[in-house]
Amino acid sequence: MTATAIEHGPEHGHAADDHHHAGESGLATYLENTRRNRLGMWLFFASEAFLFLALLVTRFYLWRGPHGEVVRPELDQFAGLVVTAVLLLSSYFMNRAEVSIANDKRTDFLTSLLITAFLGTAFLVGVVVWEWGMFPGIVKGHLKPTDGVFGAVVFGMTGMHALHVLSGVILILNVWWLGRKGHFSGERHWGVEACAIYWHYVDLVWIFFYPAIYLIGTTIDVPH
Amino acid sequence: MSEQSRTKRKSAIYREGIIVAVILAILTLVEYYAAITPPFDSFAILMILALLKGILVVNYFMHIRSIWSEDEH
Repeated sequence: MTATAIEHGPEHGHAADDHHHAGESGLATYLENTRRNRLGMWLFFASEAFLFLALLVTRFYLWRGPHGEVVRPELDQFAGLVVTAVLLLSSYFMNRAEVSIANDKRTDFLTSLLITAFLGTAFLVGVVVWEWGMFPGIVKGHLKPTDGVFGAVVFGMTGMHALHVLSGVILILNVWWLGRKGHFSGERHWGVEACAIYWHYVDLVWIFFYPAIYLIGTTIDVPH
Repeated sequence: MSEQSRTKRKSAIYREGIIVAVILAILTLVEYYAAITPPFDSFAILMILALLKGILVVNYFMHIRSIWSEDEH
């Protein structure tokens, strides 16, 4: 029996029970829809994987030395490590946000979302300022998009990834805004879950892009 | 489920997130140092490390199992 039925006594018990059953059936429908949504989301990830895999294959196909060995351009290793750490940390806070709303801890949920959005923005700034050198007054970039296959691939991979990070940050801020207005609960938070797994997907892509761009292969000088 | 066991479960979920994040950080550092320490800078080693990180993210952060499970919200 619900709290309403207990409060109002047995004469209101049937109405309250009906309401309770309607709520249960509503929740069952919600859970069924959520299962379908999850599947749809993973199919979306599968389609996105083709895009990112194509970029990875391009990198390993085009970045070859004179004897066919795998090479890579000289990039700022420290910058690569820092932006990777920032993105991994953001994934932790995104997970914390999801766990918090599942446990109805709204303040933790909102704070964790804001931290995630901040770290996502820091990652973007790191890539744009450090790696792309869009502000040469601060840091001079290592490559330009016109630097042959190296410039094209680095900017293609980091650019496509950065676009996903940017859309993820916008999505997180949107979820934060809705959460602030009272949306989502421990039982119903598919919007948060979708946003979280999207963010982790963006992180997952970077887990493979980071060694491909920064770590694998012999360093070579790229003529500018 | 009693209140006590529910609280235990909640802290276990929070702790799981922290443990996964720490393992990911350690693997990233191992990756970084492997890349500058021959002969550990091979394609195979670095890709295996990336795969391990990927599996952790997909399994614990993206909850891939929830596609088949019935009870998760």
